[in-house]
Amino acid sequence: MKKIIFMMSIILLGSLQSNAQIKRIECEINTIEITELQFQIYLDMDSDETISPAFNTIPGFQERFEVRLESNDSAVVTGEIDGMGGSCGNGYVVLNVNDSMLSNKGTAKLLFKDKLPYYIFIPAELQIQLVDSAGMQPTRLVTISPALMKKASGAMNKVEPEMYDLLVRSLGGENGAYNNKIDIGRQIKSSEASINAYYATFSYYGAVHCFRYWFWSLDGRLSTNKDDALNRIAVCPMSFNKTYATGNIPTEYMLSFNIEANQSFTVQRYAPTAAIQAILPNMVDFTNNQYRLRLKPVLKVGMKGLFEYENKILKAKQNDGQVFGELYYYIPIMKTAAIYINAKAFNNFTAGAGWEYNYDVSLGTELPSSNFKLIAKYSRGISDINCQLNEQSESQVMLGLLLNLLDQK
Amino acid sequence: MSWQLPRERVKSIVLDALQKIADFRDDDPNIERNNFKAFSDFHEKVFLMNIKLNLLNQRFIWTNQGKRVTYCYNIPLNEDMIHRWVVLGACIDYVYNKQQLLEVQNKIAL
Repeated sequence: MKKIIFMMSIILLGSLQSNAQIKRIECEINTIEITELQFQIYLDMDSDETISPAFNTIPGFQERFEVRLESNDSAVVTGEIDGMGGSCGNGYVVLNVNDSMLSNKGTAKLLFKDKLPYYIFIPAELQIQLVDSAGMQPTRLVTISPALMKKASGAMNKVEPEMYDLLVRSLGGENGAYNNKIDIGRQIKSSEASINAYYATFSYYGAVHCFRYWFWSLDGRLSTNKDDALNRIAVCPMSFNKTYATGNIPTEYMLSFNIEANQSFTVQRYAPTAAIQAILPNMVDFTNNQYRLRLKPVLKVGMKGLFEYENKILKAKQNDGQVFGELYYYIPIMKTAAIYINAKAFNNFTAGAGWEYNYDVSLGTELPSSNFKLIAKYSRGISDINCQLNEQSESQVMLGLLLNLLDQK
Repeated sequence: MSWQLPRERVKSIVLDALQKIADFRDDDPNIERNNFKAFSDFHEKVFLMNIKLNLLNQRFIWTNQGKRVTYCYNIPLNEDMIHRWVVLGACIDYVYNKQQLLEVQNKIAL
């Protein structure tokens, strides 16, 4: 008898229906492995309740449930939640706006550009099964009406325009991983022949919104000493990349097309590039068994063609090719210090000068509660733009503060 | 019985992803206090991709109304999040709180 009463109560609980209360709707961008925009609809539930994993398979929930985003009561975008592919989180169900929808110019414009009011339109009630967290037994069926969805989605925080850059960027581009930044510093006078100068290194990345695979970037180094051979400006109007992250040695393949010049624009050239970068096993350990996170080095090797269309230094245009290698290595030392190595070596096919190089080695620490890093930085080398030594002394020692600005990643 | 992965399991998944890009001591009591400031862009990308793939490889099997269904886990991730998390512990909390269940037959093609 008790068993029958228990079974009946389970059945009754499972069939209980109530109107859902939507606590909030959050937007989240997914760019890793798949590109999509998620609307996460948080339901008002008891603390011992959770959403049934099969929430989207109950009768009345169509396998492909259509969701429309509307602006000013006229449907301008049609999207969908795939009933079988719908996912749920802890306290929320997910509506996906997928890659193909996002690449639709109208959708992108509505969501990211126009800042027009829009809301999620559902043509019929959404029913969602809740279960108790402990036993996964049905507790009640909640209903989201079209009116409730309209009200809740109209009040949510809208998608920020910057999110679109993240979405487009996820589709590739050699320079798509650029850390948007500008570092400003002062070069210390290293000899009587040299001069004091201020410099800025910068990199910035962007996406051309009307094309899915078109990315641009700008990076370089400018100095108040315009003759400093390390000064350069590089514009990359298009790039592409592919990453394999799961192997023992994570690897990325890249293709790009650059336009480069020195600061005075006396040397200008095109530079198509193919490269591969990988995370290699750690080569050294200076932590003396302290609890430090020892990042593995990143090595990049590649080759590029160099086709000059302006050279006022040599008064003649040169075509060339180059193989190059770059190393990023952050090496923790003992308990608090670290060495940071950022090096580049290159060999121009026609210059006949063999391997040239430039590198920065920094030793320092971060200043607490600030974005500044106190560093002693040693730079040495040759610019790969015009193959000139930087300063007469070939090397520079810089003391100062490093500041990351415009960090929008 | 809840389908949600416990935080310790999520931590293990995140640390597995971290091992792709860094070495660290297994007994580090402060591992969650590490920040991401020294990460290069490529470190960040590989770290996030491995969190995602490790989660997709987790399984939850549930029998509902006589039908046995296999689910995997998913998590929305993007490159901006590392700068929001600040430390590894915040990353683990995010993955724990935002983990999603997805039918295996609809798993992202890798």
